[in-house]
Amino acid sequence: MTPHLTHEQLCDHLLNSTPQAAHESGRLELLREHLRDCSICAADFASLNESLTVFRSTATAWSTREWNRAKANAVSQRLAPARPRSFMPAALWTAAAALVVSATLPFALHRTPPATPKTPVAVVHTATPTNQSDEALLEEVNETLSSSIPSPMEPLDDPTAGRPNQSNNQRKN
Amino acid sequence: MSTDALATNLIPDMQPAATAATPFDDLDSVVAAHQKRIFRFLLSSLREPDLAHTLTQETFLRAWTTRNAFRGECSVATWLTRIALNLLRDHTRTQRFRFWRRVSTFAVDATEIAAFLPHPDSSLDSRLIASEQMALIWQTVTKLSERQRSVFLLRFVDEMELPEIASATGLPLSTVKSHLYRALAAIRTRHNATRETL
Repeated sequence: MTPHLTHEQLCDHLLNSTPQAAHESGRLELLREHLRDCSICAADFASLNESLTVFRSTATAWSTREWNRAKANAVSQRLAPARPRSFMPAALWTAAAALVVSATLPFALHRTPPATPKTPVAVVHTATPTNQSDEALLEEVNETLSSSIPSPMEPLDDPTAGRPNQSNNQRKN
Repeated sequence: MSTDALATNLIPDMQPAATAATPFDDLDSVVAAHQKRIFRFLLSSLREPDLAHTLTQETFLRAWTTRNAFRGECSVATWLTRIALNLLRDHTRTQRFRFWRRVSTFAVDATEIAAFLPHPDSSLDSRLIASEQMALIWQTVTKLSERQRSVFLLRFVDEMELPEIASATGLPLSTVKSHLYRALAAIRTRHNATRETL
């Protein structure tokens, strides 16, 4: 036997399997004797054995917790009052379907005709008033921007304008 | 050959199967006796509680549907473990499971499992060290090969004897031992490394 136990020998002792034959039984007895005499191997064995025991404890505690939690969930679901499940989803689906139909119907009905040589002419005719109104709008914006006093502040330009009653009241007081 | 004899030869398994009683006929008592153990094994293997519950239920469902194949050559516990192992293997080898395992957040982290460490009387420092060591052991177990992990968990979580593990996994006893040696070697290496650093 080597001065210290090999990994397999340590594992054999740790697994503590039932000896299948007489020579195995004798071998395990020799390992036990070595562990009694060798403090290094004994400490190594004890440390690993303890870790594995704690590992088993954590696995057991965790599974017990999860098991109980699942049981509690099952009980709470069973005790929960029955909700009217049939109406709400049907109403929601109906509303969603109506929304989709109302949104897509205009697009479905308003199909632009295929491009023909006459189309540009039509576009020019219909676009003319739009262009005119756009130009008018831009002109108005330009005027507003170029004016010295912005239109929202025009009343402040003449403080007395539009306030005759107020000034009369002040005089009375 | 008479008609009866012909019928018996043609369907040899049907008549005994229909009449033979199996332990699974009383499924309630089988479930009550074994479901927590099967769940513990599946939970430790998968680290996903919902999936472990599903596969536990499937284990007993399959035990019921295949109860006529149970010949009593092994214990009920071993038979159930064999079914659970098959389900586990079938499930974890699917591409869908592998994909969701990569992106999933359902699998419980090793540090969370280590929080279940029973240390009622020890100090906070020693609890933290032990918890860290335990998390590393769980991580090491996760990194073992599928077969090594199963054998390791059957031995050190379910406390099954080696011949029982050999019967449940269908592996020779010597192979079961070598899987355990390798798994323990990985754990010892990690364990010793953390002891030196702490």
